[in-house]
Amino acid sequence: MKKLFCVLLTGAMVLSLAACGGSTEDSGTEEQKKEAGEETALSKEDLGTIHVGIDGAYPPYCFLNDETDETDGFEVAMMKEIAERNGLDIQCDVTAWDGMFSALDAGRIDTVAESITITDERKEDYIFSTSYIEASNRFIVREGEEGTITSFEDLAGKKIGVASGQEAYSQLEEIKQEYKVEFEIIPYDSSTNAYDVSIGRLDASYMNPIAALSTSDAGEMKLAVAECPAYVADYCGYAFVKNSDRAELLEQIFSETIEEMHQDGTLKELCEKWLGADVSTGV
Amino acid sequence: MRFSFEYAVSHLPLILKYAGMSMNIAVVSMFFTVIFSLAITVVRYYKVKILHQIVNVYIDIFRGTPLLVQLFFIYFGLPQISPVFVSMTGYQAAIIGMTLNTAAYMTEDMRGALESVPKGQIEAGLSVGMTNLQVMRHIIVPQAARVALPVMGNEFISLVKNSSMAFTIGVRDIMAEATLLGNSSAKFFECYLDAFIIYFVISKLITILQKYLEKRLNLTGGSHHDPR
Repeated sequence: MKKLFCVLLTGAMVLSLAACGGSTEDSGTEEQKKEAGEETALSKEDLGTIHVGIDGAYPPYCFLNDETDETDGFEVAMMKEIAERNGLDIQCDVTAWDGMFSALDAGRIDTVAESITITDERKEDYIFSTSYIEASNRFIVREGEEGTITSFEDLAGKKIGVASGQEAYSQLEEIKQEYKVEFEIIPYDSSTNAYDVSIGRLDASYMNPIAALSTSDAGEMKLAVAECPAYVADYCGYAFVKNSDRAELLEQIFSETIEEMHQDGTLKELCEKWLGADVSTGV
Repeated sequence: MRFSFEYAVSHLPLILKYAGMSMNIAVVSMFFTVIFSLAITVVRYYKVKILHQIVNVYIDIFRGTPLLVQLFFIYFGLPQISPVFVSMTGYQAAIIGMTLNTAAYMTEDMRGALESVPKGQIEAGLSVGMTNLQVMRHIIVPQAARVALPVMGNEFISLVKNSSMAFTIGVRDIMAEATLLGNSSAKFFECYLDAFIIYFVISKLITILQKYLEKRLNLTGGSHHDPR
């Protein structure tokens, strides 16, 4: 009888394993197809669907339009324009910010449309398209308190919120070192920390002022940009993984299209429409 | 307070639309969890060689680490080991992660239930010429099921609530929609309140169903053992 049980049990295990493995089986063939395609030179037609990670929680760059229940905003408009000009099928996949770069590394998405700052550190792991916008970080405070942070020395003893995993976080660490000031950095998993400034949990948030003021307006949070100037000018580009023919081709297409859009004024138009200011770079 | 009751009410249906995805994850995970738990519980109950040790290591690992870490490991970690895993969707990763996680707990519930049946009854069964399988079917399982069912109901409620973590691996569920809407409109309170209500109502409905099932099982089970 014990033997019968063993047989039953192995049967059940095999079944459950097969159930788990089912998801990965069809992937094998897809992978093979991909590899086969990479042997010959890739062309635009071979790209298939291009998956772009977007967290949909960073207005006005990207947000959820509650009327259409789809992502919308500047970055989505950029993707539509790039898709249209090149006849590509670009799909914006909602991805939580936490897992954005993991998703890129894992090949689940081709690039990230989330105003990613081009940095030397990131350049070690990724190749970047031509920069399309400038998005320097500033200190966001409650309205009427703009004068509380006029220089980096004013940060001493303050509680500063920042989205972790963003370039802003590293910049705060650098500011600490460079100006020899001590302040508390509170990391968040997204840009929601602007809200915590408004209710007084934080003294300031270090983030993109366009995004901060848009959130502030929507939520009637009464926030403002502190007088302290930007630490560095940040330029954003689309990041792609290294050592991949597909990524290299996409980088080339994206860069060329950005330059084209810069020259014919579309980039400037999109910036003014969505971001309320011409922050386009395109070179 | 700048709470907008109107916004909360008007956006409830929008978030509710994604309750289907949350429930889908919970129900499918529960299905695989029950099958998988039964299998490993049997392995442990009969102390099957080698498999028994493997199962114990698995239970140790999955009970000793947070579900969030397990989900990240499966979804983001595995593709770096083998490209085969790249095409695994967030949904599939969530099902696999939640099944492995919940089964590690459920097998303990099931073992407890099996062991709640006194050894004397098993011996009695064997002494009247019943086979091991017959003892299992007619003596152990009917009694163990009554012990295990309430705990399994609780595991299911946990699954529904834990499914909210699937958003971190890209699944658009109740939590995802609430977070996205909250960030987009800066109306966090309204959106999370909607999510709060939806999760609570789902859990409450499951509890009611569970109570009803328990009652029925107790009734039939009771009459079965009544001396005539």
